[in-house]
Amino acid sequence: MSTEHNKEVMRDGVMSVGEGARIFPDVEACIDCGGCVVACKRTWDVPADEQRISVSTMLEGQEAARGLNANATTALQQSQSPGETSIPMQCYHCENAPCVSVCPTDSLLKKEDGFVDVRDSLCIGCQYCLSACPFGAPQFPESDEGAARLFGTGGTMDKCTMCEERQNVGKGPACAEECSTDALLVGTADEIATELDRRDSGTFFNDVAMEIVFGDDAEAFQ
Amino acid sequence: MSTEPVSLDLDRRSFLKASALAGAVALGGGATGQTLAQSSESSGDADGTDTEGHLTKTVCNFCAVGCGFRGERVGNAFVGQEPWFENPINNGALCSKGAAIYDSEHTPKRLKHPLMKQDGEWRKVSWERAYDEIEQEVKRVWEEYSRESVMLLGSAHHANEEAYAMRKLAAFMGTNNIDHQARICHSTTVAGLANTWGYGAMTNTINDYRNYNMDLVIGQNPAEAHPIAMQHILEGQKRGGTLVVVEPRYTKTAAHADYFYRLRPGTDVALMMGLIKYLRDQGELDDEMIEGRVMGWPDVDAELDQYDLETVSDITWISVEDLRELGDLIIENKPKVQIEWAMGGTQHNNGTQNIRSYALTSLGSGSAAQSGGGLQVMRGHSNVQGATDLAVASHILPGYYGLTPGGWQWWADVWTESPYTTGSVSYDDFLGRFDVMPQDLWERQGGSPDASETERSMMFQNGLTVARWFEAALDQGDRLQQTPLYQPEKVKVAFFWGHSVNSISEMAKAKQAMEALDLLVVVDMFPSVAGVLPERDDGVIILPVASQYEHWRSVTNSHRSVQWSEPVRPPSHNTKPDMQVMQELADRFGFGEHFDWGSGPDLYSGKSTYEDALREINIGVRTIGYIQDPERLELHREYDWAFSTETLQAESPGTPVEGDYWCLPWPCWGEGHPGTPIIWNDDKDPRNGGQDFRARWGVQAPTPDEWAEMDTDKEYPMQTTVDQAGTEGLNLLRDSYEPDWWDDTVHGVPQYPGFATTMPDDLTNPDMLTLPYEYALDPTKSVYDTAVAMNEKYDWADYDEQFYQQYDHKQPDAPTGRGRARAVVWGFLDTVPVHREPIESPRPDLAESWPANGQQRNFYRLDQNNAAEQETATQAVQQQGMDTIMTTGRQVEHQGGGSESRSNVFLADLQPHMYAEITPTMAEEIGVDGGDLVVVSTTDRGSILVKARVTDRPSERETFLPFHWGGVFKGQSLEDQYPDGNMPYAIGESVNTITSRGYDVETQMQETKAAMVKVRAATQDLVDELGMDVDLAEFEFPQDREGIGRQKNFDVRDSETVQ
Repeated sequence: MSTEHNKEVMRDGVMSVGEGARIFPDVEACIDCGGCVVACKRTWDVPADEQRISVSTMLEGQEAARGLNANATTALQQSQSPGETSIPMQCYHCENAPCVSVCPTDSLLKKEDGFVDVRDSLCIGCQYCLSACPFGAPQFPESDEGAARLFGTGGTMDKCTMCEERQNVGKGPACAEECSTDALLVGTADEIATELDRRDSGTFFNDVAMEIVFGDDAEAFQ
Repeated sequence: MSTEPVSLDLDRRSFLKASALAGAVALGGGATGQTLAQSSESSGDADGTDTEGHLTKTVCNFCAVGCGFRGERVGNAFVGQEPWFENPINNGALCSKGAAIYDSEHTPKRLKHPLMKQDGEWRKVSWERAYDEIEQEVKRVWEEYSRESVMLLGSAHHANEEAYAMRKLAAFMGTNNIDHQARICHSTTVAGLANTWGYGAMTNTINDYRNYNMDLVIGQNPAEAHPIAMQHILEGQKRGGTLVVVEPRYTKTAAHADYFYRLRPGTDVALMMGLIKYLRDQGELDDEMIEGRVMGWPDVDAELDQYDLETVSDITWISVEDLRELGDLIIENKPKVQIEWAMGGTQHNNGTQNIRSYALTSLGSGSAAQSGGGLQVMRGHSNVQGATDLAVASHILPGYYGLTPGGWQWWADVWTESPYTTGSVSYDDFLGRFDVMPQDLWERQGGSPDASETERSMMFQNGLTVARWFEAALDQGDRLQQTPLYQPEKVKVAFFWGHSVNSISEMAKAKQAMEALDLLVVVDMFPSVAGVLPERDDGVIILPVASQYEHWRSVTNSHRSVQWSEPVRPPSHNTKPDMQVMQELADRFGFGEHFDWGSGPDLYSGKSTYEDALREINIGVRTIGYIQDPERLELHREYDWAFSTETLQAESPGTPVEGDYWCLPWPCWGEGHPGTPIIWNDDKDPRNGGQDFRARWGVQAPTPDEWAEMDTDKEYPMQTTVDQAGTEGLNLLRDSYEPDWWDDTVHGVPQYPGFATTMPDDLTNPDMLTLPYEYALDPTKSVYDTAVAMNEKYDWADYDEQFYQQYDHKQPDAPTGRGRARAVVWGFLDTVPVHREPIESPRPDLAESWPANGQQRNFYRLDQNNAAEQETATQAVQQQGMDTIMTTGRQVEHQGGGSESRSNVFLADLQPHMYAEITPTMAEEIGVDGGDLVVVSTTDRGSILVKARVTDRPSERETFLPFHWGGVFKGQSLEDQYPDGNMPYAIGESVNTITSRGYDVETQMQETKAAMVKVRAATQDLVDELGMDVDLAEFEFPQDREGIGRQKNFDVRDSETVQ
């Protein structure tokens, strides 16, 4: 069994769970199979027109700069075209979450244990959080219904919870556990940075975004 | 208890155990679960943390990777899914389809009761009533027409036991008109590889993708067709492997490739022969493999000169520079060059030759028969491998035994001797069940006028295939090339049993055929396109079957592992398992005693029925070693944690499964044998899963003199070989060698006498080794010892001991001997691969220099002539200005004909539409935006109406359409045809309405990967002109109406990213 660890380059995406856990994509491993989207919807009974996690594909159908087609993040670092790349987008429960800063009713909260939570009872559906979030995480499934429709607001915001309740009983987030290619990494910022490094993969987000997501820990990704 | 510390380096399983140590809630193994809000079964909020319920170990029924998942059962309800981390194939992962199984189970679109169409309406009927009607009609048709007037389209989604039962059912029904999706999937692979080295299956394992130096993906898109295979492919890449994609289109897989080469569809042979020539010219062919383990290479060499790089470039549209680069990559990375393919390689009029060219490349580069090399045949549906092995196919009996007196005698014996069924049947009984080919047809197809009735028995005739079965329901004037039908009467009854109609080309003809039938029976979980395509008011019965997660089953994945899968719940609503329906129909037809597997008072006895059927398979399928006893397979499930994902072997010492490979990949020769993960692998002891090329064709290929005696007017195909090496060059046994695992020399030997025709001594212990198996594996016994012992033990045995004496080598062997791969397949029309243009070629000049094959008679009951079709088709293409190559393929969210996945809310939402992919340039040219409707037109199959998807994936001269769609036919919506409540969430046109008419000359595989079309913006004028009955102002897709999949993007120009 231990020889397996030595040989394996791409390890299990879920490295540790619970307090301090973060979730972050390895875009070089994502094949846009939709497993994460469905696992999440199935687990939490998410309605058809909402995506708590969604895969966004850049440069669909385009080859990267010569020799870099399989190294999207390296290409990006070298200011070359990374070619078609799929990025799983969800709430990354940022260290410096802009959604928390802008929320006028403080319904969004970065908790002690690291999870960014929305408290439904306080949310007024103003959608400021959606404007502030660089990743499009906030979802507004009720925006076409009832009062929201009437007043043109978003209804109560919903988003990825990083499967907090699952993590509390030691399970991983459903998306990461079922990811075809271990492209969703769950663990401490250090664990995630180490795994990406091990895979010779990087991040698709710029320094500002990385600082938002990881705060001081963004250094680990340099 | 584990003593592993909690640390960062734990893999999933260790982490779970350690967490248990640390006092957190125990994970896995039955203590976890979740409850979801469902209207019928429970209430309350979604909560993925509940720890009630039993967790099953179940195998996904979508694709042939064979991922496992754990279904949560509370009472009799399927309430959730959790990952099955310990399954070494997928390690807990699932793609969108596997993750969506929950909704396939619960979707309101599932069929709940039998339905009959009467006076244009669907009416609920009882099972008894449905069975009465079927029994009556079939018996009437047997009486009024013939036994051959029934066609069974069976399923790659059935369990092994069901596939086996279905083939047996056809045999007792007195017809070989039974076939399934393999015909239109990898039939060309099976024929191409089986004829090269003895078996037609994936040679390595999916997990072995971790070990390549180079992975050549040609004509396949694993990121969408086999997503979890990418787990291993990407790992192999991270370890330093080079991933190369050769494809007409820049796919999701290409997005991860180190190198991408854009190939014109249908030109694989030219490419591969060109690459082999390149290797030869660089002096880089692997002489050791060619000289030691291959027969006939000089005759391949003789063909190579026509494939110079300029010619190949002209044909394939790959530049000379890129061809050299690709050749150099092979040279750099051999011998660990893996080649994988799927429909892009197989679905061509010369598909078998495409596959042969891959095999020759593998042999020539020395990459065959080893870890990190080999041919990674990626089968499609979950059990297409099993259904092929168990012969839901019109040219074989289970285990690939032929439709010969010998094959029938064997199965008559097995079906009589089997302790798992009560019936007895003789060879003569079968003769009596089958009809006879009429004398005039017999002679027309070249039969001797003096042939006896026995010789003319339909029992020995290949049956109809799923590719062209519909011709048999039509009048001769309506058939392609007005072919005669080589059976007594037309087909009047067809069963679409877990088979889609929209995955088969010529849909307009199929529609016509289905309207001409007396009875159409659809046996499925969903009404499917077959239920709604034919315009008829009656004579259609729909039988609702249980899902494959609602009963026990074994299912064989692409790399031959036979996984035993647990039901999550019993059959839903008023459905029955497919097996039960087969048993009950057999009973109705008067031979139920041959189908009464299981211990219990009922004909269908749940788990024991499947176990006993598998044991009967163990007894009878001796050719490919299907001797996986259900008890051993149960143990594998129990000790799943012991199996390594690296090697698939149970490496942990001290368990009852130690040394086994996961689920005993065939050939598994029986008790104590661990299965064979990599076939042809001579660097392992056969007792540990090693093998060698089969000595399937004897010890020597036909000499020129012997050829002259044979019934053929083909030129002698091994002339160059004989010229260069004399008769020695025709040797079919491998050279001797000194492997690491043996102290002495290992010699080439023929197949062990009687290995495929000897039953175990004790039939209630079906995996006990038979004499030939035992002696083969025994290091102290030779093939000669076996012949002597067989003659002594069995009255019927009369083996030529003198012949075997020359091979008296005491060494461990697989029972299939140690032969050579054949570079020349002397029985094929093309003995060595030769490039042949697609039926609808964009290059008339090339179609002239490299034409398709010509006239064939009684080829699966029909005549066919690709060359004639090619001539008219290519000319018509020019005349009508069809300027765009159309190719077809998969979407990750959908499966096969799409009836299940489009009825699944998660999957329909993710991928809500049928479309034609066109480049931004073409979009500009024809004036459309993504999401607009376009018309895709052909010369003579009409047109279809689909959305445009504007993307850079295809080339400028190409369009790509997925094939999973149905529910709209040439602009006309079939919404109203579905039984109430059973219409899928998402419908669309079927591309197979307009694919072209070519058929592989060895297997009748359909050519769906290369047609010529015209794509134009849909205007009312245009659709009127084309005779399409649609009012564009009113036309609407139900998925748009219901707001499904609104997040989907159809135009890369609209924003930086697409979903």
